[in-house]
Amino acid sequence: MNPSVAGGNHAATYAASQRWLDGHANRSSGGSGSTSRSKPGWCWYATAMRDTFSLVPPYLRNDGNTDEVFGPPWFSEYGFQQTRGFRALKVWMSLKYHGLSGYAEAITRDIALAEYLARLVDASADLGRLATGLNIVCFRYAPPSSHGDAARLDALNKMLLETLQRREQAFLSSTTLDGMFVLRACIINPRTQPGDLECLVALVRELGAQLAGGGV
Amino acid sequence: MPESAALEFAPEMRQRWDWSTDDMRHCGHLVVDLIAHHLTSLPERPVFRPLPPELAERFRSAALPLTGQDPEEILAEFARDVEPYPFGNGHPHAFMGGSTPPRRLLGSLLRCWPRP
Repeated sequence: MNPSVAGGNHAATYAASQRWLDGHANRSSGGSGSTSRSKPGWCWYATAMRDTFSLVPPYLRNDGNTDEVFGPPWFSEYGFQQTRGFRALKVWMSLKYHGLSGYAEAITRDIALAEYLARLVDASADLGRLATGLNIVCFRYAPPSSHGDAARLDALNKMLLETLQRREQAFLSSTTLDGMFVLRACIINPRTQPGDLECLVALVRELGAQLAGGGV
Repeated sequence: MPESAALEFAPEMRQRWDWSTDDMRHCGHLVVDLIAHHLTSLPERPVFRPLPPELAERFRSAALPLTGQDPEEILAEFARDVEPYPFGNGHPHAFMGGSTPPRRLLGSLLRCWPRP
């Protein structure tokens, strides 16, 4: 493990999500059974990065003699920066502290929490779930009384999101799926508990009912 | 995807992701001691000390750690195998750009948690 090379998060994420990726491999690679990115590594595109960014001016000698100071490639050949902070140290230390198994467990729990949120949404007649994948759930407030009125549901959920964000109790992002404005929950904080998701669902339903009742 | 996957961490795993105030103070003091030692002793040390090839090879060939280590062990390894080999920058005799003024510590330490 080289602390000078960034990109280790990919390896950790890989370990935890391999099972999910395997389940989706047929979809993403035409049925070959494994994805082209299924090999973990510190940097998948090192050659492309060096081809793109390498600039060795006369004051930065690189003589290819690996026994000397100026032999190995400069890190500045792999990106925009000439010098940079020791960013990879954070990755190195985090991997040593948690271990791959620690990341695998945390990411597996994030995915399980997303599945739990999906079940909470599915159990609520006034919420509709549009998508679930890994640790993300997309849903919206869609009471039966709205009769699928697309424009009204978009306006209602935009207002709901803005109101929720200002209330300081929960923060969601949003996205557009099949032309619909939807709420998007990304579960990635190890301190998030099942109760926090129950709280989120209750908040969204309460706000949605208030706004829908107010004629939005 | 298994419905039975745990929604809660085991207690010892949860502690790894959710440090107490005492955990943070303990590790924080160890880290600040390392920084203080580095910055104050740097001018007395060689301006450049190449990473020994065998140490480089050890880093290169080490497997990704499957299980976690304690912070004290990790910081001890950093102090032994990483800290002594900065690439010159920061030493008053390093005439190729870059330095580490102590005031940068303030921003660097405080920027570790927010994500603007």
